[in-house]
Amino acid sequence: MKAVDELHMNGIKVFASEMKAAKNIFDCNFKEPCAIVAGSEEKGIYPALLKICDEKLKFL
Amino acid sequence: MNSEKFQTTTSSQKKFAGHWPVAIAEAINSGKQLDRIYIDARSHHKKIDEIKALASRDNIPINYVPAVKLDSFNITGHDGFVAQIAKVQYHDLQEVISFVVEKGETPLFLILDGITDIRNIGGIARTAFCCGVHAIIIPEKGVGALNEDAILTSAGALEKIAICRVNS
Repeated sequence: MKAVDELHMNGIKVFASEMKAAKNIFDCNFKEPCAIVAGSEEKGIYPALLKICDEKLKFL
Repeated sequence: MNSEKFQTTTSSQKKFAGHWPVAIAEAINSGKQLDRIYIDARSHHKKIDEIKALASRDNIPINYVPAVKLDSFNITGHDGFVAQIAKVQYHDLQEVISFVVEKGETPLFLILDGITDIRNIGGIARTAFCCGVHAIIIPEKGVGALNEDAILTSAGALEKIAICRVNS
């Protein structure tokens, strides 16, 4: 979570990968500074971390 | 403490940065990167606070383990302290961000949360490197040491891509 804060402070957008997200990864603009958070297959991303991410994406 | 106190174990194919707390403190102070420090949970050594402070400063995870675990490393006279030398060079996140921006490139990072299998991290690093990711951010705790297996799975990508270990 500290890392996400540090990225935000540097103007870097943080995307979270989530299966139920409405937006597809192919619809994203990766030409702007960004970071992608990937969680484990079983548990996904830690809920508090997911909350502070800017946008949610699905990979497929 | 000089370098002759450093010891290599052949059974586990891992190097340990000395088994005396003074040697570990010296290793951290000299800039050697450590993956993890194992401390006997029952230890009341006078150097324990110094080691904890140094580890906290350099984001080195500490595991408090039973003495049996330390004995399993096959190191004699460990005094309740064992440190594992990092196989992968860890970088400071802010330094990586500054470096990428100064190079005139658009930063692209990958944060791995809850991925514990180091071989999976190796595989992810391989793909990430091909996709132009500048750095992989992993949490300080919950991830095993990135050892030879991880480097092998990554096909060397872990040597090419910056790895940032952050306090979770």
